[in-house]
Amino acid sequence: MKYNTIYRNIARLTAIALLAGTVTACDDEDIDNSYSRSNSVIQLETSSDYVVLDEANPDAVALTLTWNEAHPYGNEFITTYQYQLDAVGSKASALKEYEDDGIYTRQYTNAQLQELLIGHFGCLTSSNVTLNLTVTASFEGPRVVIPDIATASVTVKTYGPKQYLADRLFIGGDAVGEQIELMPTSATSGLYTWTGALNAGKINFPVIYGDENNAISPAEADTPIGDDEMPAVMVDAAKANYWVIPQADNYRITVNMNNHTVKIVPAGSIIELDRLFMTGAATADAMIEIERALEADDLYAWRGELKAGKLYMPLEFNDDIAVSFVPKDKNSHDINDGVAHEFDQVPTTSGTMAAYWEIPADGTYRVVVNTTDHTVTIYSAATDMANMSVSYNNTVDGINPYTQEVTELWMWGGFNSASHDDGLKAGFQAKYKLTQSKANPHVFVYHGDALPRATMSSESYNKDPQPGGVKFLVTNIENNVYAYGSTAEAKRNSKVGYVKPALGETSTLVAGQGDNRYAYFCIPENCNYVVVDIEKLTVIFDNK
Amino acid sequence: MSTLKNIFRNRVRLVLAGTVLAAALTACGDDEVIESGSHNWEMSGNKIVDIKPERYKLLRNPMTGWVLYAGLGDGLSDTFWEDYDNFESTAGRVKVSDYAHTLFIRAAWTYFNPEEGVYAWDDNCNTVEAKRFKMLVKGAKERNMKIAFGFICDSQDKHDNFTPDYVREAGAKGYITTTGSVQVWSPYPDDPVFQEKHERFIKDFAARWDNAEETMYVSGTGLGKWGESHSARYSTGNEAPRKAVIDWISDLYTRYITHVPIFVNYHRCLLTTRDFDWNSVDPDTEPILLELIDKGYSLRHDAFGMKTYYTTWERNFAASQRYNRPIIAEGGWVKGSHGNSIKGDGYADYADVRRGEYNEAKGAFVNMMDFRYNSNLTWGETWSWFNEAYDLVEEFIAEGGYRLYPDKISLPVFPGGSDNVTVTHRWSNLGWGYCPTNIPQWNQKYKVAFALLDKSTMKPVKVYVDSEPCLNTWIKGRPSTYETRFNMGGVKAGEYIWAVGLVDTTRDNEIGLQISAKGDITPEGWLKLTTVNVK
Repeated sequence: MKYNTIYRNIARLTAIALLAGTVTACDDEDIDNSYSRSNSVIQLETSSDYVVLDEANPDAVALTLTWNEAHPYGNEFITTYQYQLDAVGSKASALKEYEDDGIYTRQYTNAQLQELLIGHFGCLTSSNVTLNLTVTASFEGPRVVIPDIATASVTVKTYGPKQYLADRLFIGGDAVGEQIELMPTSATSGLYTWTGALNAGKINFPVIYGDENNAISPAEADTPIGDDEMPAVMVDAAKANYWVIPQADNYRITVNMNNHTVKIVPAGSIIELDRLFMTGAATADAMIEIERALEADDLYAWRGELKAGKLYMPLEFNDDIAVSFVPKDKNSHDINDGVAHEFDQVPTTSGTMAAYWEIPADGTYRVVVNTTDHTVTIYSAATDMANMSVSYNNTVDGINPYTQEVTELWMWGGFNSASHDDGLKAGFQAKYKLTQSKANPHVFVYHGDALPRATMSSESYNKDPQPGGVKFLVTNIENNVYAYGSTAEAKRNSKVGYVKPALGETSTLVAGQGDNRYAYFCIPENCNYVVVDIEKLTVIFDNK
Repeated sequence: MSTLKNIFRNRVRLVLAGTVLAAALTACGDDEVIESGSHNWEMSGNKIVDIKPERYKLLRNPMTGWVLYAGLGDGLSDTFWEDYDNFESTAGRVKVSDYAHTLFIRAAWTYFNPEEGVYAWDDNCNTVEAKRFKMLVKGAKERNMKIAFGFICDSQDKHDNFTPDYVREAGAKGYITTTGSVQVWSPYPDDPVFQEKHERFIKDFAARWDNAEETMYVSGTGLGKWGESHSARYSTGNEAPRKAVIDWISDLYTRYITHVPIFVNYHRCLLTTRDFDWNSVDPDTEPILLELIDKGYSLRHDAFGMKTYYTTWERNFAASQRYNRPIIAEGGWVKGSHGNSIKGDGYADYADVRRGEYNEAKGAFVNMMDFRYNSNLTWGETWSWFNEAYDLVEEFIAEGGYRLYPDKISLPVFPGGSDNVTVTHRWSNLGWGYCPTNIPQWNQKYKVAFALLDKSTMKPVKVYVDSEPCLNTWIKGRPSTYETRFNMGGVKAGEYIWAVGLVDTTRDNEIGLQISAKGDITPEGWLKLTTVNVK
């Protein structure tokens, strides 16, 4: 039974306001709109506040509502009743009907209400819907009388296919023992992640949604887990199947409510990350991102100042930071200075990590993480890789030999038609400068627009210039500096040579300030990615 | 208390038995007010009959409801009626003529009048357009629909000459415009040859179609671009002839078309040379429109829902004429040609457009709305209404235009055959529009009447017409109550059935309008009330 006086008062005030607006529009009417003269007597009663529609009994009455007659104003007044029903959140228009026959009741069967809610209002199956019911008695007569408005609301649970929605979500089954509640990574992501220990056994994901006890489970009983996202269905908890966990281990679980999938993988076997950070006392608890290296997707590197103290590496994945990299040997906090060593993934417990690296002293460090090899290398200044140093005849400054650390490489050759930036010499453009890797100071990378492949030669004796000719120079002060050219046969003042690598092919570099400066590579078509290793003397032209 | 008189009319009038006197029709300006708020319902010898309203049926009353559109050009389907008799809707397949009871044929003057003195309705006129016209009219009559007409003279934006070639050949001066790859000719509306030829057409049209039995209304001046009375071009190259042309065309229509309503577009640049300009209001337009209204024109607008074309000026003008002249609403947006432009007006989709048109029409208290034609019957405006806004189609039938019913009548049930009796009756209008009995073409011809029906034939033995109620004053939310006294007029003793109806006093008091009431209604439209024993 429902009779909401708050609604009535709001409706009454609204009606007064509306009437006031109407009244002001008519200039020749005497309006007696004294509130005290109105009689608000209608009570709208419903058979229940909460109705669960019964699919098995379509013709049984699910909801009855009744109201009483409005105040009788006598022969001089016409009383009109209008009944209205609308579903909260529905875009469909409210159902309105006049009641002219004195039948002050409405009755709906299970099937009628289901059709009304699903068919007309577009509500979800197997969900709670709030129905707002309104009866308005209007009075037309020799004076204005405030309409009598009564409202009620009823929550109706529809039947039909279950919604892939959860108010609360758990891990259940004998592989986990006591149920563990999962929390969404954000209010809107539809993702739930968890990393932790599971026993060998069975698992599914119990769901509480409204008054329903459901579960996310595989369509088939006892489905083995796989490496990829697995399709998952929402069913009644009593009818739910299970995935089989083959052995005790740490597992990472991702439940995707949007895609209707579940992923269960051993935590150590697969790394899922969008961004990698490091934090702890060594960073003064700041979250410092370790950026992905330019030359490889599985490399992350950072170089800078760290404090003495604890360090671990949280992973961000699907907007959640649930897992961190820590030393595989949980009892060791040694940074293994300059030596690659394995990491492990553990749930992130901010500020209370039991496993971590201990940075021994304030100083400059380089941190390199290889997610394929599952290794971390932390270099102190003592073990860090130094920049390559080269010596050559610096004709610009008149210094010979001139020694220079290589911290940048410039592409130079006919490929860009000798175009140059303002202030730079012919052929030098900043956009064709290679960036030094933070993971390895001997590696330089270009990743950008597809490289041009102009056909041009600065050497007058080159009678057969090739498209896309390029070499790599250690500075942009002049084109005769220390260079990394190709293995093509070449000789100053007589022959220009070219090597024509394919996309993705590794080619050998020749370093120096001699004839190698006339040995070019031909940039392959559609090349937008170049990796040069001046220690290994290799170059790869690729598309990425 | 005196100001209540306009809301609740409390009048006593002696009505002569039998046919009404024409003189009584002039009574609508009178106010014979008695004490308000207390009517004589429970009179000795009288019985009170309560009547329930019927709110949803299509009643096919004049100047209310949906209007189905058709043209006469090549875009018209050869299976027009079959298409509309089996029309897709969210309620399943429907017959559109169950929702609309007016067919508006708006087409080129040329199509109606291919040769001088030859008309599409003539038996011996067999142009393809004339065949289409006959097909449309025949189908409309079979479906109990009335015809509305619109004649367009201007060829701008058209692919045919919309004024017949014989007009040009007779020496009418005009101008050439290009539509796509086609050049078309239009007459200057101030050209005397054009005016002479057009007058003959309107005169001959009126001779055939100026009757309320077949024709619902005649729309527009037919001049200007699209016949919408804007973007006009005069022989002078300026607007100097404008007022004379408006006087001429309005005199022409009102002189010859006197029995059915005629309509003019109300917009801010009536027959100016400008393209429709929503940024400025021509200062002469409003006084000219008021002149036309005084002459007897009613109002239409062809851009409902277009927020830059139908805006404050139009809304205010419509409000100023509320219940003075009926308004016909035509939507502005066209699915086939405007597409994403609707988003400029803030519409998300065409369901939203329909809602916007509807709300604008409701705000203007319109009497009629449109189902425009599109040769693609699964795409255009009519399809959109039936498939994207079906609830509004039904809602307009129920709540748009006018629906008239008496909710309570107090009648004598044992009168003497020559007694003076009193009937108290109260009427309501359930629609937001109004019954336009105040237009000169109708001249209050519809009246309330009480009848004694023969118990066996259910035909009227005696009809008592009450000249007092003016139906145009029946406004939603304002019931009108009357106490009518009349003499029984020497009725023979016996048992009869009291009935009430809305009669057409120009047609021997036959039923003219259907009452929107639940109850026992004769096929002619008399609502039976109670048995009466005349002593």
